[in-house]
Amino acid sequence: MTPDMQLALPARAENIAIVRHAFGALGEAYALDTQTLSDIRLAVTEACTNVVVHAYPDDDEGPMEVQATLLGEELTVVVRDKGAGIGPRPDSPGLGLGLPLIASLAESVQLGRDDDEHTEVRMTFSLTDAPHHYDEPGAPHAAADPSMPS
Amino acid sequence: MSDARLEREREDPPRGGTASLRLATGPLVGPVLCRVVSMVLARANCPMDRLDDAMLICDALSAHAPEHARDGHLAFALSASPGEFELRLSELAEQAAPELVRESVLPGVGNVLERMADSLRIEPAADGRADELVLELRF
Repeated sequence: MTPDMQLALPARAENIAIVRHAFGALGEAYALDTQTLSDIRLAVTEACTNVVVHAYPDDDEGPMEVQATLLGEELTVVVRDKGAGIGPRPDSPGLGLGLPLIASLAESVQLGRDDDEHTEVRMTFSLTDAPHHYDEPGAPHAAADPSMPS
Repeated sequence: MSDARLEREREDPPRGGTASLRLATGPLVGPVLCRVVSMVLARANCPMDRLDDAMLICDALSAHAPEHARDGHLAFALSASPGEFELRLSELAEQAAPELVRESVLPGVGNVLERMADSLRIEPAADGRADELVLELRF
């Protein structure tokens, strides 16, 4: 299915703000409630931060692609890069909280590589559920390896 | 990201940048296009009056371009550098670009695209299927 929104930018820290603004506009257009939109933006920010920090470890600057597709009451967001892939990184500058945070905010998370061998983080968000709070005991939580990069 | 690259970004923050945006025709086009364009222009230190002009251009495109989309999507390639901004609209239907320009008239203002842009041209798309509309703003 063709995404409703595709945004491609150089993987630079300042471009994460553009992605956040684009999702703010998407939330406005789809009339998402504040908490849901906030969760989506936070999860997407974490995924994009991973791209900026981990995808291109050398001085090379590669692309960061973000897609959003609304299907019924479910929003699927894919963050993609052309880096080496997701794996444990002992010299990671982060705390390793990024992926667990994404998993706690999204309905489901898949990490992997697409048909073109691009690394992708695929997140789905339910737009019908009542907004969950961070301290809610039953909040959806996918397993994530804390040794993975944040 | 290497420390050297981070350090370079701190010392020499980018002025401008590029973004590619592809949107389904529908409620996303106006809000997303305007926000992304304004962010790209802000990074290029675009003054407020020209930012305003760019928003009028975005409004005109989002109002009229969706009906000329080739297959339900519109693609925008944005590029900004200090003093210059280019917006390239593609995935239009055949012969749609001139019609889109003709339609972009506001009462009392005239043709928004022609008046606000410093340069407006229609170029053949790389895939040869239709034309692209290229707008440039200088500031």
